[in-house]
Amino acid sequence: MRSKIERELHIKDKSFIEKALTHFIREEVTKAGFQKVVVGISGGVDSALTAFLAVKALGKENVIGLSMPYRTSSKSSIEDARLVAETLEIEFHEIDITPQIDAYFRLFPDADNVRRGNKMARERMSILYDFAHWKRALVIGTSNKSELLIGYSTRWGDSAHDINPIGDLYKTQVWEMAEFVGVPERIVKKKPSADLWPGQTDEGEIGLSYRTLDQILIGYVDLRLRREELVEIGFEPKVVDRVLTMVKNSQYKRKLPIICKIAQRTVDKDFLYLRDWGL
Amino acid sequence: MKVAVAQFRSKLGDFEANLEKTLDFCRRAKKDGAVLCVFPELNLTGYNVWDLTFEVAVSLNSPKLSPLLEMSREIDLIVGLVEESPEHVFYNSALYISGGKIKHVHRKVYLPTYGMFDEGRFFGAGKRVEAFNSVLGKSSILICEDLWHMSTVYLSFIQGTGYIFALSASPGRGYREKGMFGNAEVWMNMGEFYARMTGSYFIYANRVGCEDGFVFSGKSFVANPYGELIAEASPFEEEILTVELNPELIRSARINLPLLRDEKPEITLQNLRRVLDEE
Repeated sequence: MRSKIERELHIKDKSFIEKALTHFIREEVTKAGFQKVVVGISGGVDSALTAFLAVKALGKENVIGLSMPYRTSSKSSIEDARLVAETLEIEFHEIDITPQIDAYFRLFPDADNVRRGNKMARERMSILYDFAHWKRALVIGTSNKSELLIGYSTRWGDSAHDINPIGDLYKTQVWEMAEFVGVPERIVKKKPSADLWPGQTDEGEIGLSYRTLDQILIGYVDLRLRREELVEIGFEPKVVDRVLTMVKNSQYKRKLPIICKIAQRTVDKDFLYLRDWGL
Repeated sequence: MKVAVAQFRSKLGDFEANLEKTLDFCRRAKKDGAVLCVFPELNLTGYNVWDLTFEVAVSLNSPKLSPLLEMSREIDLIVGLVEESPEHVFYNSALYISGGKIKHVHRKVYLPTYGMFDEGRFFGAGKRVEAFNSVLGKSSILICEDLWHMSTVYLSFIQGTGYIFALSASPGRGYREKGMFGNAEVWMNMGEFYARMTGSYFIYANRVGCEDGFVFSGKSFVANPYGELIAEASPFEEEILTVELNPELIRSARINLPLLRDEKPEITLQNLRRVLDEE
């Protein structure tokens, strides 16, 4: 079973999956009446892959990249974001979010890292949507399946967007696909980080490696293995519990607000239409 | 005789737009010399209709169907739609239309209601698997999940069907295959197998396009009575496969492998009775 899990994570025909994802982008963008997308480029591999896919789907003239560093953002992040934009030859804007973030936290000088990080993520979302309106574009998301499942995101921050081509790819699959589509090697190879504060790394914060995390997630989510079965095939009980707890505790992040039902039909419950209604 | 398999992208919930395109595909199929044009499951409404079921449904005597009846004087067609019965039960149905009349209706028997599927919530289930005479000869129409139940194919087989029309709207999933989604490969395996075991042509019409991120897996195909793939479509694009079918090949296959001659439906029936009685 352990080897099935490892096999299951491997994408056999990357060229085909690239085509599936680019078809998805092209169709969902154009039938909603748009041609362009805006994408927040952080310098990391998720947004790089997303930007590469968007360019393949829509052409470089239809993709707008935004880098939105804060004063503590690492230099290499800023440079890698530029590298993505330069490689793809897309319209690119670098917007320093330091003034608005600092202005706000002057009111709360003792605010912790998480508050500051969340505020930055939501500020970036706000800028992306401003650009989307200005440029008549959709916001394309960059959340991968691993982070969606454990809730490693800021609610209404990086988790807010219109379409997401990589949300069904686990992080280790993002690496595979990024390498395949030609994302510069130094971006694929570097340690993943949300870069919300200096020295932050995903794996440090989550407390385990993406490889282990993805194996447990694909076992639980895609293969529907139970906790005991995951432990039986060799994952540490403590680690399995940690992952399953993160999945459970972050369900609220994957859902829209819940409504109290009092009538026959309720918008979030039994008013069942796809978003692509009429498209 | 030539049959045309229409690999089709539907506009979700827009009957008129889908009807227009259906007529257009029929004209093209006719120009290619086809005598029959086969469309995918629910091609006139889109697949994930959910609450739209009750808005896009048509009764079989609806004037909305007149353009299709008219078209059928030029070329026979098999289309998919939501049928509203006189008792106001809604079915996922396929119609065989020929010479200005609806000659046969198949109501989907097996409604998938698990995982990403929710058909049982909206549709009533059909109760009949009935062979009919199409322009090609003795034929059966089955819809998507029907084919995953061997019994529907067996019932077609013992009625002597020579042409199995398999209509589907199969959302792509599985990235462990080459050049297609995993489910598309399973469909091909199924088509080859069923064609050989029944000595029939297996004509598979599938959807393309996206509905809220469900990417339909295309790869429509035709398998001959020897179980050989004689035509296949692309994974993502709309297209018409026009395929020459030879009734002599059904004869040839059934002489070499006389499974229909030797089949003993009464034994099947006796055993079914016994099994059901023992329950």
